[in-house]
Amino acid sequence: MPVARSGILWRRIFVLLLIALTASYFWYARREFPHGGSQWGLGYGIAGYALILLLAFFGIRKRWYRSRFGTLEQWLQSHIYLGVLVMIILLFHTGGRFNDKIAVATLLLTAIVVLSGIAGAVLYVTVPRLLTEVESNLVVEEISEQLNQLARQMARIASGRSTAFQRIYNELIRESMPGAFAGWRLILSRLRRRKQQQSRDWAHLLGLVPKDEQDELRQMLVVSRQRKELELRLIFQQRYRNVLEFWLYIHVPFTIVLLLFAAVHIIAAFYYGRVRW
Amino acid sequence: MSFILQRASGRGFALTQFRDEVLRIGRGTNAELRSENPAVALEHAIIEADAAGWTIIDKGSITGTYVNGRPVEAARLAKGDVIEIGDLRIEVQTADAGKPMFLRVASTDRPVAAFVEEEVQRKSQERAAVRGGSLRAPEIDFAGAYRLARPYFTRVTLIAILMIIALVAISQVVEPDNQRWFRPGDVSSAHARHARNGKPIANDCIACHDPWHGVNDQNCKVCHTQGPHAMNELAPPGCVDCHAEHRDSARLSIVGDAVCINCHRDLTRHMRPGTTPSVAARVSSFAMNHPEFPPHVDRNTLRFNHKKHLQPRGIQNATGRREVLTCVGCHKLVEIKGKIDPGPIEFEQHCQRCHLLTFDLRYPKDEVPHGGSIDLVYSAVLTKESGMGGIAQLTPEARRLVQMRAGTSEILRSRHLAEQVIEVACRLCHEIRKDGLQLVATPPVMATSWFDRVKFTHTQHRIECISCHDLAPTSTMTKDVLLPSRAACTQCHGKSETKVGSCGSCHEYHERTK
Repeated sequence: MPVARSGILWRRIFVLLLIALTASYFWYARREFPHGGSQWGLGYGIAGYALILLLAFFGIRKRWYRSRFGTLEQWLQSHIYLGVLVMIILLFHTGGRFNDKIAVATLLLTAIVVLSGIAGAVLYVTVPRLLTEVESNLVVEEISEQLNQLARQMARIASGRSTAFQRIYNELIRESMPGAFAGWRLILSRLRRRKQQQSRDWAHLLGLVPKDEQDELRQMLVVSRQRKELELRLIFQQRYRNVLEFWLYIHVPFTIVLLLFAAVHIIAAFYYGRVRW
Repeated sequence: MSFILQRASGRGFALTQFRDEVLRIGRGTNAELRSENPAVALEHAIIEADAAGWTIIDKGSITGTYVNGRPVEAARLAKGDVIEIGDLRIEVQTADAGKPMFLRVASTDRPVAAFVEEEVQRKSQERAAVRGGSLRAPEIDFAGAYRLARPYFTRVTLIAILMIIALVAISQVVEPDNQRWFRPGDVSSAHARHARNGKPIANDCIACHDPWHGVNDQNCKVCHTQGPHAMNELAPPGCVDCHAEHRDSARLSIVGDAVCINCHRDLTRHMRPGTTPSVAARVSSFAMNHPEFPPHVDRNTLRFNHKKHLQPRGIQNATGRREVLTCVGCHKLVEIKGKIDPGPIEFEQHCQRCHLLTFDLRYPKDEVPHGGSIDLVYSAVLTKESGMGGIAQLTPEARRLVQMRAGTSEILRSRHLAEQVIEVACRLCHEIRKDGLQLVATPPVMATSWFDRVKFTHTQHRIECISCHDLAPTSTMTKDVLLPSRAACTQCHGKSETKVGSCGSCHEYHERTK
């Protein structure tokens, strides 16, 4: 897959910064006891927090359509690579010490945000290809309308029929109800196109209704099966879309909480005099 | 097999013939019977022949294939059947086995589902009036139902929930009794043991930290009194600059060499203007440029020859036998206040075993007393000669009375014997001089420490004496001070691989805390 030019540039910037930061840390750790309150430790911390603010600003820049401050592609590529770098900088800031519980919580939140971002980047590379394999000529909204149309058709076939017939209709309609948080359950479920066992199922159902209703029941079952196929197509499409969207439910909210914890950590550093001013 | 299609067009009907086994119906460009209507799938259905006749097969279309108003997956075709697909209405004119199939195709404005719905709706209304009730299908927004965002569960609501949880947690943590959550490391063992104002220091951050100003030296001095390091020191470092807490170190008093070298690397930069250092101006390492230990001269009047006493073949003791002496035979290591160092040399304990102070062969077991006034020697001999014992335990007045009672010959003889033992035995080690009529020995002054700014203890130096005091076996003069050289010390101190401290091992920054 061709890589955007800005991606190559930021990859190189990332590698250079990583080498420089690692070399600086080893030099610093040999000279003195490494911890967050040392001069170098504070330097790493300040750089890390500034990076976090810059990375969080991407959410605003993404929606600031009139901005000329860099292209969106450059912002995206820098967001990815600097996002990984910030985790390394913060680890250098800790100096390998993890006693301050608030600081550790801040670091864990950073790890969650960074890992979810990496997951999102991977998903954006892999999922669209899978999506094209299941996309049909109808969009999700059109499929939804078709499903309701077929349901109305089934209702009209079942209207005025025997109780058993209408019970079968109700059961078929109930089976296709999405349920609460259906979109979230889609992410975790393993979807398979089940082989049709219609002949056995249909034979059983046909035996439940009077003989004069069996033809109509067969019609309704055909429509119901078409409806199920259609719904499965919708589910397959929507699942990939949900996967593409799901990681943002972790990445964005935890970023906000991270900013809060980082602020508390910084205030505490000034309060307890670990940073002297 | 072939198919003949009669299709209505603007100028009447158009006839098209396809010689193929299969007639494809759909919206795709490969379909022989095409429709642009979106209700028709790309590959909607096919009509194929077999030995028995013609069959239409739905290829999984969304909108379905209807034969005579009924949705079918596969159906045998006969003359007169009406096939409805999307907007296409196909009438089967002929469907005989083995003969071409003739189809009349017409397009309608409305998709077939609409025709079917109208028919089904009419029939269902008729039935509802006769049998079971009418049913109404629920209208479901499937697209919305399968989306992630719910009316009350969006990213914004999740942010709000997490923020509330975070703020509640933070509000608990900032309570004065919960400040241990901010602690960057355990405190030293001493601070962990002690309390101030009834609260353990380890749990009372304010005991050391002034809010917004950090650790204040005044807080340290509440417990720790200290003297200055040097009067001319410019900008003395704060307590925490050398004794950093929260680093899980058991003893804060152990300070690394780097802290000392920070100033002593170039001392002139850390002294008040116009002052000069009284010690070496540049010391960056004990092994590299630390000054050599200054030469010392022992002015002690006591004479001692280490070389003679440490002969490998030994030295004759009082019984005439050769005895090999060791360093610790005289310089016994004793524990004083937890430290182990050589105890003071005692003549009775360390020397008298060989250096007997007998004065007359007639009294082989009697010796004159050592130490104290030289009078005791004269008195001891006189007492023995005159037959009175135990004179050493008498007071000076009592001794004088004894002497007065002795006869002249006894006095003279005892004086001779006393002077003999002094000249023979005492002079071996002591400086003897005439003081009036008596010989007197100059009392020795034994130095206990040669460095006034250095603390040294043998406690941890469990090595061979010769390793450091290598000059002892060759020393013949008392004035030789047998201190080890700096080179001997750098065998261990000053090498990073041995991890033995340097500066703090010998030097102190300020007085020990009280």
